Order: sequence, then C-alpha cells, then structure tokens
Amino acid sequence: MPARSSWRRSDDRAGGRLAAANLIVALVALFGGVTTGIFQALEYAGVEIYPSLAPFVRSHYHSVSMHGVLNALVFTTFFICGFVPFIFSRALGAPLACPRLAWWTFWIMTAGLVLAAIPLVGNAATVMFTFYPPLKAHWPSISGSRWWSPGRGCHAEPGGELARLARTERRRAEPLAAFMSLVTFAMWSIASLGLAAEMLFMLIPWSLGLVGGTDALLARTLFWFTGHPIVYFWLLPAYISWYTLVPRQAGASSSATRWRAPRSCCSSCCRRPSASITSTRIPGSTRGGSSCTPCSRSRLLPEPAHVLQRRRLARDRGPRARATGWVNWFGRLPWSDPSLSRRCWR
Amino acid sequence: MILFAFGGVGGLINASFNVNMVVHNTAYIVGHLHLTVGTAVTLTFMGSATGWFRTSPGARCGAARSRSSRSGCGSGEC
Repeated sequence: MPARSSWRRSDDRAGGRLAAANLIVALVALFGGVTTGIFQALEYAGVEIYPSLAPFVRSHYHSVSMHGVLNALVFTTFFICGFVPFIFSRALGAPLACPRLAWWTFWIMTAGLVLAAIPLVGNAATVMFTFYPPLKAHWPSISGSRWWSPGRGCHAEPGGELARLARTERRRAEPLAAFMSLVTFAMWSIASLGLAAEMLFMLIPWSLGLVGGTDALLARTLFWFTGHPIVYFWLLPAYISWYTLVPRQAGASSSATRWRAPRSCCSSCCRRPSASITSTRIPGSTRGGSSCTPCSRSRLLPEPAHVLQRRRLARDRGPRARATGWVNWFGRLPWSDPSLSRRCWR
Repeated sequence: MILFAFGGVGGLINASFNVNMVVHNTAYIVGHLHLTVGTAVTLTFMGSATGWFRTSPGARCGAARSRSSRSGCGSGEC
C-alpha cells in the first residue's frame, strides 16, 4: 500500500510539470526524427530531396545521424526521465525525494542537448548515433552527449525515496511500478559507465587533438558495454506500462508483484552477456559470453505472452469477468481508449 | 506488443553466430531495431503518455478522462 498520507496536490502538480517539461523536449525531438525519416524514405523512393534542404540537411548520412540521435537518444531519454519518476512517484503515492535535483538533471540534459545539436546540425558530427572510432565527431557533440549520462544517473532519487519507505514501512510491499522504475535506473547507472569511460578518456581527448589516435577496438568494446543495455533502458519503461498500466485498464489489480519483481531483476542482469556478444562482431574481438546470448535474446520472447496472460487474469478478476474462454475477454477490452490500443497492437 | 513478438523472434537470428554472419551489416538489423524500438517502445510511450497525462491534475481529454480516472494509474494506485 502506498504512503498516501505524504501525498499532496501541490506535489502532484510539481511532478506533472517536471514530467511535462521532459515530454515536450521528447516530442519535439520525435518530430525532428520522424521528419528526417521521411527524407530517407523519399530518397529510397528515388526522390532526391537533399539539395533543396541544404544547409539544414546536406546528405543521406547527415539525415540518418539526426534521425538516430533524435529518435534513439533524445526522444527516448527525455521521455523516460519524465515518465519513470512520475510513475514512481504516483505508484508510491509520495512526492519525489528531491524535485530540485530532478530539475537540475533536466536542465543539464537540455544544455547537453543544445551543445550536441550545434555540430550535428552543422554536419560536423555525422557519425550516426553511435560513438564508433575511427568515425570522429566534433568535440561539442561528444561532450554534449556525455552530459546526458550523469543527468540520467541523477535520477537515482527514486532509489533514495524507496529506501526511505523501506525503512519506515517495512511491512508494506512496494508497488511494482516503483520497483521496476528503480531497477530501470539502477541498470542504467551501471550500464552507462562504459560509454562515459569511452567518451571521457578516449573520444573527447582524441576529438580535441590532445592525443593523436585512439584504440578503436577498446572504444567499441566500451561502447557496447552501454550500447546493448540501452535497448533495455528503452524497453523496461515499456514493460512498466505493459505490466502495471495496461492490466489496470483491463480491470485487474496489479498488486501481486511477487513473481514479476524477480523478472525485472532478470531483465537488468541478463543483458550483460548480450553486451559482450554484440562486441564479438567487431573484427579482432573474441567470442566471450556467447553461450549466454541465446538465453538473453530469447528472454524477449515471453514478454508479450506474459502480458497477455496478465490480461487473461484481468478477465478473471476484473469487471469484465462475464467474458468466457481464452479469447473472448480480448474483445471486451476498452479498445476505444487509444492509450490501450496503441500499446497492445504495437 | 504483437509486433514486438516478431521483433523478438527476429532477435534470435541476431543471436545465432552462423545466421548472423549473413544478416550482419544489412538492412535486417535496421528492420529489427525499428520493429522493437520504433514500434514497441515508441508507440507504447505514446500510449502511456496518452493515459498518463489524463490522470494529471488540470488535464482534460474529453470524455476519455472519466474512463481513465476509473481505470488508469491514479495517485498511489499502480
């Protein structure tokens, strides 16, 4: 049960403003990313559009770089940094432990975004959305991107709040959404260390000209230490939505968390071998960790099945209990609600 | 969620050393990424935002708000 006593209407508004600020940046980035995606589609269709777009978009790779950065990095990161603390706070029924830290995080990330965007738009950082030597970006682009990592790490405040509640309310089980939020940021705090090390010690000195070259193999290995877990940084918030919000819309209680909490832990742990397996595609690297990879990959498969099972349970427990059989309940879901239909069919 | 299942099945090919040698550095990888992230994650985020902001104070989303307040993630209800 959440600590409702500590919840105030003003806290809800403050959390909503923080979430809205992150969401606005995320949606602007998504608009830019989708637009550049259309340019690529037109090029594949035989329409040469880039000459008319200069100097904003100068080439296919310039467009792909902006598309990848805006969609895969900016949109996802800002959305998650708005969505997860908001859901965490609501799930616990308590305000964030330190909203000022959350706002500092937002502004640091935004400043880093502006710093990274200038060379990207100016075609001085056309290196896709990866950090892959010998592709070399202008130093503000790398430095600005680096600012997102500590910004994301600052969202460890959910952990502080959960620890406080664990001390004060030991007999209460934490809500699943709060637990999954904590796991998401705990995983990301560990996973982002590889990219941070690559940027700080290899790419930024190289881009500034302080060193003559860099070790491409080591840099790519460090990149994939972060590069594969970032997929789960994107997916875990989607799991939060599927496991906690969708079942509620189907009419089920999501308070039974015993078997799902360990799954969240597995999601954060099993991606580690995948990081090493991705790097084995790099020429010169070894095949370490290969045996774990199929397990890690196939872990993706049961997720939709588990969520559908949750909705079957919703059939049994919820207000739509009149539905019978294994499939009838499916048609009784509130499909006219876009927040449900989008998540189910995508 | 349904398309995400296809993305997950496609990931098994990436996880297989022998088959991956065929598809690596091809548009298959791009397709896999878009099937998992471009559909599952992005549209789940959009759906979440639709349901999530309707529960916020001051938000108005027509008649759907009343449905959401009964079934969505309200304060302390997740």
